[in-house]
Amino acid sequence: MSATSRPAPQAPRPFGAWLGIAAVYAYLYVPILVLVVFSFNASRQMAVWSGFSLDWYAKAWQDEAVIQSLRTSLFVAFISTALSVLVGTPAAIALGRHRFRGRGFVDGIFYLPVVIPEIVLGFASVVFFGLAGWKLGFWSVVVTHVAFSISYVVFTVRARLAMLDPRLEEAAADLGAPPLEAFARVTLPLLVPGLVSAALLVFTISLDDYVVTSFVAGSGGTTLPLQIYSMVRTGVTPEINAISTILLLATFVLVLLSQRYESGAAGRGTSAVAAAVVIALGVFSIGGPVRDAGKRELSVYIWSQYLPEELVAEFEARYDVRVNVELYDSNEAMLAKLQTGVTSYDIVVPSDYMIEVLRANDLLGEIDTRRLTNLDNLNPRFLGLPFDPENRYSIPYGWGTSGIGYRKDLCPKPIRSWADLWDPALRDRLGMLNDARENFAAALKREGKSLNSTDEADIARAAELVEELKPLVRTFESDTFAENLLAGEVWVTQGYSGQIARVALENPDIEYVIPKEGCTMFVDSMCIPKSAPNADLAHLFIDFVLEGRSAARITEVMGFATPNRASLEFLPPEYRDNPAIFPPDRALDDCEFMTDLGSAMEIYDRFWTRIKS
Amino acid sequence: MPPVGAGSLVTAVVSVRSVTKRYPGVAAVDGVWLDIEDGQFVTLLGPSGCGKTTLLRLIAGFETPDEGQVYFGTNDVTHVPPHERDVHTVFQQYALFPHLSVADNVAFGLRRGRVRRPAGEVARRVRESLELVRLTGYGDRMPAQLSGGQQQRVAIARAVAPGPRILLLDEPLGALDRKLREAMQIELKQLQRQLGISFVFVTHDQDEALAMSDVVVVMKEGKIEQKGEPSEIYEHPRTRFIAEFVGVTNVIVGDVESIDAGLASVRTPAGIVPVSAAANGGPALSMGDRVSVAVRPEKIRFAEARAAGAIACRVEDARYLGDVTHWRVRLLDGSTWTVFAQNDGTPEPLEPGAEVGLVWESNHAVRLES
Amino acid sequence: MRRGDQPRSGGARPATLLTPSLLWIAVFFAGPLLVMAVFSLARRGAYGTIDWTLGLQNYAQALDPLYLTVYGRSLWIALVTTILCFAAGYPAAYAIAMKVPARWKSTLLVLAVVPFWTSFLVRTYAWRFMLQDDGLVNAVFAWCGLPAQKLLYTDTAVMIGQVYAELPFMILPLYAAIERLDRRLLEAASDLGASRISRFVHVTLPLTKSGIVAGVVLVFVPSLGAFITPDMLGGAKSMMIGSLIQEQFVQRNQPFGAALGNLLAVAVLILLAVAWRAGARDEARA
Ligand SMILES: Nc1ncnc2c1ncn2[C@@H]1O[C@H](COP(=O)(O)OP(=O)(O)OP(=O)(O)O)[C@@H](O)[C@H]1O
Ligand SMILES: [Mg+2]
Repeated sequence: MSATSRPAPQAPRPFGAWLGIAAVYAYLYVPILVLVVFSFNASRQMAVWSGFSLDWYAKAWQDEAVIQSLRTSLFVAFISTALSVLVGTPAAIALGRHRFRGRGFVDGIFYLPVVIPEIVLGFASVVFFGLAGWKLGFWSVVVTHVAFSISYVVFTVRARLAMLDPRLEEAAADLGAPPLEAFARVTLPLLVPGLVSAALLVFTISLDDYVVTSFVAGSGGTTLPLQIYSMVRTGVTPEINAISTILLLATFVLVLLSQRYESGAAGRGTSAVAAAVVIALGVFSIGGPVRDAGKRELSVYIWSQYLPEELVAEFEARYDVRVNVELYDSNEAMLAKLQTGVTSYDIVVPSDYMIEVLRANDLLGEIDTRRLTNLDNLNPRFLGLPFDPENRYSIPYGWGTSGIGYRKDLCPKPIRSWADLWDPALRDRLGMLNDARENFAAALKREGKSLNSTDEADIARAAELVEELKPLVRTFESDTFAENLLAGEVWVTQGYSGQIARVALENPDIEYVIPKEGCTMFVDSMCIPKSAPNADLAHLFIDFVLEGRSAARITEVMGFATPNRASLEFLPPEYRDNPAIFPPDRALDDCEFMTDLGSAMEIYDRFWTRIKS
Repeated sequence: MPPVGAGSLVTAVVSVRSVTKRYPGVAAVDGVWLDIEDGQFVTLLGPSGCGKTTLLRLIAGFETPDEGQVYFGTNDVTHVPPHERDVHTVFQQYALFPHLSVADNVAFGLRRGRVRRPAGEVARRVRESLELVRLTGYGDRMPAQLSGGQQQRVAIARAVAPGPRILLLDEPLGALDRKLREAMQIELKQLQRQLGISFVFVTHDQDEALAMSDVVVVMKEGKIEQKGEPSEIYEHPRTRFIAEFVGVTNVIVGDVESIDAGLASVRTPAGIVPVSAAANGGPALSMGDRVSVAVRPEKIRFAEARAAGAIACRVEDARYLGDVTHWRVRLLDGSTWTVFAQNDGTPEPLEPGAEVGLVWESNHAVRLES
Repeated sequence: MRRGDQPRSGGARPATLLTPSLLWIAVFFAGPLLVMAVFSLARRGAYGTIDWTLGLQNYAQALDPLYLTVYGRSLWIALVTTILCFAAGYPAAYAIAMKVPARWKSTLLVLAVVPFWTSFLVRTYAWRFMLQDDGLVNAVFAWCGLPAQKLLYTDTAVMIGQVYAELPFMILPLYAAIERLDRRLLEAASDLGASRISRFVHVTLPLTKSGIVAGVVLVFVPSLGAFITPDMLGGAKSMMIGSLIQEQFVQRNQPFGAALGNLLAVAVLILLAVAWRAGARDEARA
């Protein structure tokens, strides 16, 4: 046999092939390498190498939120992998080994989850959970992951099954093994490599999924990608790189082991190491929940970078409770979650106009202000605002503006007004928020109109202006506009005061201005959803935040101003006397809160779509 | 209708009774009756696609007949699943369990479901079975580490280890080269004698069938054409199909001209051929019947061209094979015959083109059913 | 079913084996899609509530010419991504399958998937960092004496990121198909005097069609709905179908978002059916 087999004719010239492969893998791995290298960078800035350091690993390890989300991710991945393999394998066997009517149809069904775009599934699932009355949380993430993972298991296992000689099962039956025994002693062991690759694949998919998870996650379901996404509002810190590096390392070990297994080279040692890695990850993933089992829980659903971790720890210690912090990156995402009616958040922190919307949807519960001993700490200016005149539903948390940040060293001339943005010299160096209302606000304000205008002519004129501005725009960005400014990628950017104030502290060449025409002003307030399972604890939390020291810490972390008078004494001067954070009153004269525009929003939408297409 | 394969019900270990198995478009097995006696070496012989494998699978229980029954002894096992049947199969491509060692493969049938044998007994029987196929010491190897012939023998050891009453072998030697194949033929035959159980052996190699079997069953298009001892199949093929499938034969067609003392004279375009009038179990011949007559090449001798009772022909060419010479001759009607002549020293100075006569004993001229 | 007819696979009936998975998919997959179908017929109410007067107005709106450019751009991005992935993926898959020693093959394949164990957000940010004005790529350009390029927030960046995210999904099915190729066929073609190019076009490509179809579907479909990569690397200057749907969610016009989602899903299914038929015809011929 071997005498007749010749090497393939192409074999002698593999050099070009290696070169091509090297190019493709370089492309795949250079970003990964960058990520790994910069996880050891002493500086927080990704662009500058300033020495080797393991600080980020230490920091990541101490970052309770990150660790918790990693745990959740792994736990979700483990359970959904196990479930989908368990449920999918029999289906693979049915399709691979049996002929029955409707097999083609069933086959087609398994293709569906693979080809339905993620955003469609995510959107549909959250609506579905809402109607079905299933609580969003950990399990909603798991069942959805399983729903789209089953197909991958079916395909992978079936491919392996097709490689198995059906005679082997017959041989087992022939030798007297009843069907179940034949399956257990012959088919199953031979399927193991297929099961292992299916599990790896599904595990990977679950671990990496963002879009669907972001829709269906609820309290207790914040996975690492969700955590990372909300952290990148302030740019990717090397902390995230450190976590990614550790995950990569774990992957490499598992994958190498599974490969040895598949190639048959696995001895006891390999299996033991593989088992050890899996068990270690598993124990780590359930470590958190077990530790805190049985405590009262408070779920806070809040903007990222709004709640410092040590405050959470302090609150937990003071009341012996467990606090679950979940993050969102837009008012609307939060609204959508609450609208499902199946969340279990105790505290949410919506912005002004959103409070109106939440109230209109009857999603907010009343706050008993008599229980708030620290209410007097608030500046009365921030009480009784139009969206909640009696503060029955909301207690202010922080406030800010969305104005302009710019680089004094790069811009040809200082920026003082919105009109300054329409300057051809800024071509490709201008950043705008990726938000229809904010873009129109800039244009409307420039024209001296209200940013809540519902006048069609006003809006049309504003749209023209935004259209004019678009060629100058480098990027529409709502998350990392401040990072772009810091990196010099843009010279001027529309942005929220908090983030820009924070990068301005890093680079004195950055200045935040409230344009002289005025801009959007917002107040984010603490509210208790009607569906809150623990409104009692929520009141305690609000009161805790109202303490001057807490409010000061919050201001330092988020960079936005606090409405808390008592906090001022605790604030360092570079915050307290920072006009970007606490602007003079007259700068706010022409600023406005956004209001819900009702059906006029559709006009904005259409213009926005046209501008963006 | 007299069932072709039917035998004595009393001693049959397997009886296939009027079994039909249809696949879309074909009846793979078509109304087959077959009895297999205890301790017999039965060979299923036939061209590719004639239903040999299907018949075997029906006996093993992998297929259920559309019609008819399968009996083991006096038990109807038609609907008994394969794992409850006391037959074991040696598969065409061996079907060894790739994840189990040789010893574990052989032990598989010993450790099956309900029957719990003590470990010592399993080990002993594994050893004995491997000894039987002369693979002692190979127990720890994996199937992938064996040669084709060794895998073959493991497959046999695995099938015989649990001590079945019948062993089914589906072209077990098909993948082996000629030398190994012949060696294995002898080994298999010895093994069967040693074990004293029935073997049902599938092949489409006629030499293999004749050399090994007690009974040869010739199949064609899902039906049994003839069942008999090898010599009977060879010497008295019932049909032209068998005559030509098993060995080489010369066939000529003619009309019965006269019948005399049990001997019929058949007039053919090439001359008068004598045939036994009552031959081959068929109905007796009568005048004017049209018959096909077969004569094996080694039964024919050369004679003078015009010798009495000889069929005249012209020599076309010769293939000298050392021990024998195969002659091709052309008869008067234009058909070509083959004659085998032993190279026993009697010189036969024949040149291509020479006119000669062909003679044979009249009982070697076999009348075929049409 | 008679006994003995189905001796395989644990003896269970296909219905038993299929029930758990089909049930799961029916409840947690088909259920949501069904709900969404109903949802898409409703209207947006005040303050983001849902007005349950059912009608087809959302679908009519979705066909408004305004959105056609959005669809066009998504289609274009998906198409270019697919072509680039194929152009890069086929030679790579071919090389791995045909030219690389067997012991390296599975390692290389696995290495193609490993980057996916970091969050794609992190990977995308790594690209941003590499592509920015003072990033790694421009540093390499400068080192080579080339002028600095504006890369981040351009279509080039979008393509780099998209291909990066989808390439492995092209390589894996292609590899599987090429690996199955019977080398003797290629030898036979050479034997018959075919040049390397004509051998590739007339033998290799047709014989690996099933892998090509799978790879194209696996890359094209997600690219069609993609919006995070185009937003993050392209500066969100043009809307994609994905961002349009996302936007409806943000702008609290969920019924319209649902209609858009349904249309996208249906378009993808039609596409898949076409691809499947192409593949099936191919299988039948093989
Ligand atoms: N599972 C099946 N489905 C459909 N047709 C089948 C199936 N198995 C066998 N056949 C058909 O039944 C007929 C008999 O097949 P079988 O395998 O029994 O032939 P065979 O005598 O063993 O041939 P060979 O010598 O080539 O192995 C053939 O025409 C074959 O095409
Ligand atoms: Mg056969």
